[in-house]
Amino acid sequence: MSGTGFDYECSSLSPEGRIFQIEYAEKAVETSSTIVGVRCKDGIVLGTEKIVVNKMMVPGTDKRIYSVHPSAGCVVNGLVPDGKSLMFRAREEATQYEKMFGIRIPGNNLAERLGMRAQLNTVYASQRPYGSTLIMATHDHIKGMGLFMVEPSGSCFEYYGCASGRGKQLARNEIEKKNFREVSVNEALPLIAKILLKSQEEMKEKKQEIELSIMSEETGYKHKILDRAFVDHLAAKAAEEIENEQMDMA
Amino acid sequence: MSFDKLMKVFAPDGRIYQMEYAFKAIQSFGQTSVAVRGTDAVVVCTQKKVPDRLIVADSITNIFHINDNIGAVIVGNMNDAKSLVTWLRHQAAQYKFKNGYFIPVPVLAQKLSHYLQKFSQQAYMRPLCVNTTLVGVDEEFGPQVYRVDPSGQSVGFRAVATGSKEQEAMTQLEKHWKKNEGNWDTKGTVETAIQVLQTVISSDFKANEIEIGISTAAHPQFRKMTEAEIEQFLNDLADKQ
Repeated sequence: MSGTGFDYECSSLSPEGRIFQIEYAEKAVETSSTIVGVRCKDGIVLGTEKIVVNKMMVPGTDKRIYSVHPSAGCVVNGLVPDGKSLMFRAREEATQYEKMFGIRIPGNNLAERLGMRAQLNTVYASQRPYGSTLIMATHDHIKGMGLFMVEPSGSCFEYYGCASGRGKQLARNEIEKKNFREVSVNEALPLIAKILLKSQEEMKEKKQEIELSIMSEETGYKHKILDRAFVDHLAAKAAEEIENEQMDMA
Repeated sequence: MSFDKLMKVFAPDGRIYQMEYAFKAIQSFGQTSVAVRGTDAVVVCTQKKVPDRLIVADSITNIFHINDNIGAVIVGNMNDAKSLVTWLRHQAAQYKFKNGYFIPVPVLAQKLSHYLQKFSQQAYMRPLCVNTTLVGVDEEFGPQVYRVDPSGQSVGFRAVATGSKEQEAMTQLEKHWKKNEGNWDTKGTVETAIQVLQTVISSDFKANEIEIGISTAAHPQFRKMTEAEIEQFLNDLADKQ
């Protein structure tokens, strides 16, 4: 896929009508950490896996999961600073909406605004697209739970389950196979931990870390980022299960 | 790579290649829409394709409300479409605030036309790859259908199709038009739109694979039809054939 001259700026379309800068941004996301969002019976689970780049780093400080407001949280991959920038924008949008209208911003409004913000970066020659995908879990009193994914092109749809990054295909297959809508959040957590660990198979020699967050009936639909100890425990159990499965197969 | 294809400048043969690529981009999305103007109703009709089982079907749509009385069906890059819809809604709201009455469809189409033309003349922005059809029943002018393309050209139509199968659909619409000079009542307008779309996509629709937006003189509020209503129309059409 070579743009040969049509790929320097967002403001050039190729002869077939493609915008290569957006496709390159999506490439950057494709080769980065896996992020997943799954809508369960009574809540939503967000998760990500990452490689620990430096042994000297304090574990748990390379955060990928953030809260946007008490009942909305998001996880980012790709170029994490880009993702964080979009996340900060989401916080601003939510605050401004609440100031103006007096109620918390509904999930689909917030997601749409983020989608449009990302699209804004795909129109001008002076900007490049955001190099990250953002999966957001929201809850409001109008529509209830909502799971949204915002991509570098500005696409924003509501999902029952979504994934992005290097383990995207694997994660999506697993999510489709298992009907998560019948499973509760507590039952889903170990399964999702397993999916995340499986998606970094090729990077086995490096140290991995996963992050998880939930927003469920149990938490009063507040976005709760699970603490390090619990998550590491889940990851260890999942790793054990994967090893046993592999030994059974071998 | 010649600069005249890279930037929005005139090529030696007088064409602006970047604008033509924008038109091509719309075709590559594989959507088609049909809009028909009857004697007392306007109907827009488009295929609803949900690309993925995991996506919530309600979050995918090509038909948008702009105002109480104006709707839009947009084909092409849906991210550009959403941005455009926000702009249109803002313009319509501002007009109502300043002038005290709802913006007529031709006026909104004209504004959109000026806005999109800017994109075709400035170097630092790319054209928005969308074809917009604005529809509404106007208090002064009656039912209106306006198509605005990426270059900013805005034209009023009696019936129009946009998207990847637009040539075929336009031919079909002309055939239907010839039958009764376009004097369709509300039911006739809906049926014409559905029939043309079915012919060009060559498949019979189920009620959840098609989206229909309608505005009539009796009920000028633009609204999307429910699945039950669409089912009713599809059944009536099937009975006729």
